[in-house]
Amino acid sequence: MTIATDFTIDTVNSRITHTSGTTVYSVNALYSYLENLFAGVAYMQYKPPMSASTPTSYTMINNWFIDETSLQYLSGGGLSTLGWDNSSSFYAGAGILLLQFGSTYTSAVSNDISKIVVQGANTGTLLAYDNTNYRWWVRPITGTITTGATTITSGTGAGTTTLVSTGESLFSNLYTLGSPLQANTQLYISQGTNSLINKYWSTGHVDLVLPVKRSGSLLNSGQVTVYAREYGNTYNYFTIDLSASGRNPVPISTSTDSSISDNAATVAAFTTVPTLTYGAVSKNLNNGNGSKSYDLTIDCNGLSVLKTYEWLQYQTTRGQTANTYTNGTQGQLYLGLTGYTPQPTAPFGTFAGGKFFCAQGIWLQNMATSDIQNYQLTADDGTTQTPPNIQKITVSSIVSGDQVLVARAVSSGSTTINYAQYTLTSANNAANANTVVVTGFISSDEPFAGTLRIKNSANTYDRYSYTSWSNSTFYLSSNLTNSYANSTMFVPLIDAAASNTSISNSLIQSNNINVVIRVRNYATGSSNSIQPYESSGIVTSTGLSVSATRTVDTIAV
Amino acid sequence: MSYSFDYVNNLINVSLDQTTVQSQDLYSSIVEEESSERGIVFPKIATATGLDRLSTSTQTGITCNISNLWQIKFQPGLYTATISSGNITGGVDENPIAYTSGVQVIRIESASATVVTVVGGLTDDQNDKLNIINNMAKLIPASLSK
Repeated sequence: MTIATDFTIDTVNSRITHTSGTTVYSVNALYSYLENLFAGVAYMQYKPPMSASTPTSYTMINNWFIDETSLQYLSGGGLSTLGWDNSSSFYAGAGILLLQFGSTYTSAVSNDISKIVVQGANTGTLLAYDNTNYRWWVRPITGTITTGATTITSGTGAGTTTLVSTGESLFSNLYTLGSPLQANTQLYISQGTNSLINKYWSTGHVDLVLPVKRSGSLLNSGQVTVYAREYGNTYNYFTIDLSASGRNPVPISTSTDSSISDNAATVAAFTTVPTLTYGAVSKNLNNGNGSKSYDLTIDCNGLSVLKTYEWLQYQTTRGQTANTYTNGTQGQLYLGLTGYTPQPTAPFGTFAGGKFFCAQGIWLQNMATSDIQNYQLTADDGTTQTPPNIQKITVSSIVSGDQVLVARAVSSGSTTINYAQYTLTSANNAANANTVVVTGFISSDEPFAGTLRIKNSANTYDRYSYTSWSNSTFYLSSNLTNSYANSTMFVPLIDAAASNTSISNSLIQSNNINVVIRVRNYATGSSNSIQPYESSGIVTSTGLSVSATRTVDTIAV
Repeated sequence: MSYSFDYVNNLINVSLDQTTVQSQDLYSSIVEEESSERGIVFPKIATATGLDRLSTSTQTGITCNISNLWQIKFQPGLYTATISSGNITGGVDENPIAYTSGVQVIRIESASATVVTVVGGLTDDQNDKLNIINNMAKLIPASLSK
């Protein structure tokens, strides 16, 4: 097949159309073919259809028309039009009208082409149609077709037009390049919110001529976005302004996403999935940076951060037209939260080295316990937020009823408790108060909740449970029973009677903590008590786990 | 017997009505205190050794060693107090008993204290035979039995 057989020249209606074959020709080839054809004797009486500005930029001239479907068989250059604007006095009567039909529409058929479109006394010639979008391209004959009932003389198509426009059109060339582009990557292109250009191209890189301006109106301001999103590969996209016509390169590449282990079918079958809630929230990661603003909360619902990442990637892969999790935008077109620089490879954030690096504005919560540090946030203000090192202190090999104490020691290896860790203020600590206020700030590595041991006049240490703390204040679960002005106090890391075979508590570890560990138990009767267990230890960046030794006390009864 | 623990003066106070301290009883009270919510924040008050088995009926005696920060203190009065059933050692300056006005404390100690447990009685067989004899005796008329 040659271009001469694939493209048909309709000299009666000044129309060029692709009518056979699947070969894609360069715009230059079409131009060259037409130049040659119209220089011949048979076409000498007709005005040439195209002019060339550059080897990649051409213009349809002399009122010649080419339809958008035929553009699918062209590449390598852009096409603009001159003479399609029927509102111009210079081209009036010879321009192109774009008829937009409403819901009252009967599809046109191929035999309707070149027939007379009738709307009352106004008529024109049907040059092309788009039954998907209810559009006809018409060249006026008499009068000017406007809105209203429209038919085709001896034809099939009919309907009621809701909008008629005229103006020049622009078909720009877009081609992609970049390496690597993973095999079988099917690129797809959007032209506005949730507006996808119907795909007619194959997998791999593309070289396309796309409508950019239609009947005088730029489509999406001339911008299109090319996506490469195959689940299992890193994603990519590129937005480009095609309004300058000509040939426009789009760099795009992808690679295998080595983080992903589950295939798409597996991810699609997840029974537990994250919950996404869009909306401003103020959250404190307890990392010392205070509260920060975020715009999207992702609740992992106990999933690991990797599973969460896989699921989020799956929701934004090619073919995901649902917008359930993507704030009204089709998943496959979602670029991320509005107002922040999108992350091309992963709209919700990237995954590397076992960590989920959430995109800016995303708050992540309720991930698997093993992943409480395997993520990083970027708050609305652009500050990176790293989770604190939340670590557990666990004492195991105990039994229910054992009294367990883990408290800060005065020095490394010592089993002497630092009894005077804090000094209470002279005010604020009277009987019946439900807070304890210390001088200075509370150490950032105190347990989130636990007990306080406040020295009393009997030289012993009264025990109070606290539920939280901030700055200089511990918030108690019950009121003080004595006044403790200027008393000293220490905060055990564990201070409770065991109810199981182990006991633990959590804190944010920042520096090593020297501790003393005690386990004691007295119960009446022979061999029911244990000899006091005592040892020293260090709460390191990985926490502390102590297996107590319970030696039966054969003497106490 | 009861004891109270004075953490200001580090004294194990013996209750007023108590004039005898048995080492095992004292030690048990100490362990109970050490294991309490109050006591666990403090170092051990005492340790104890003993009750090692020598035979089925004999064990070594108990030696309760009081921390060198603590002492036992009887309540003031004119009476003689006794510390028995084992040894009590340690205490402040190796003196486990704090001075109490008017109280004379007798420490019954041994370098090789033992605890003897008395065991004995009838076997099941002997018991059965005795029951039979007893029942037969009931059959003898009272006039004959005199």
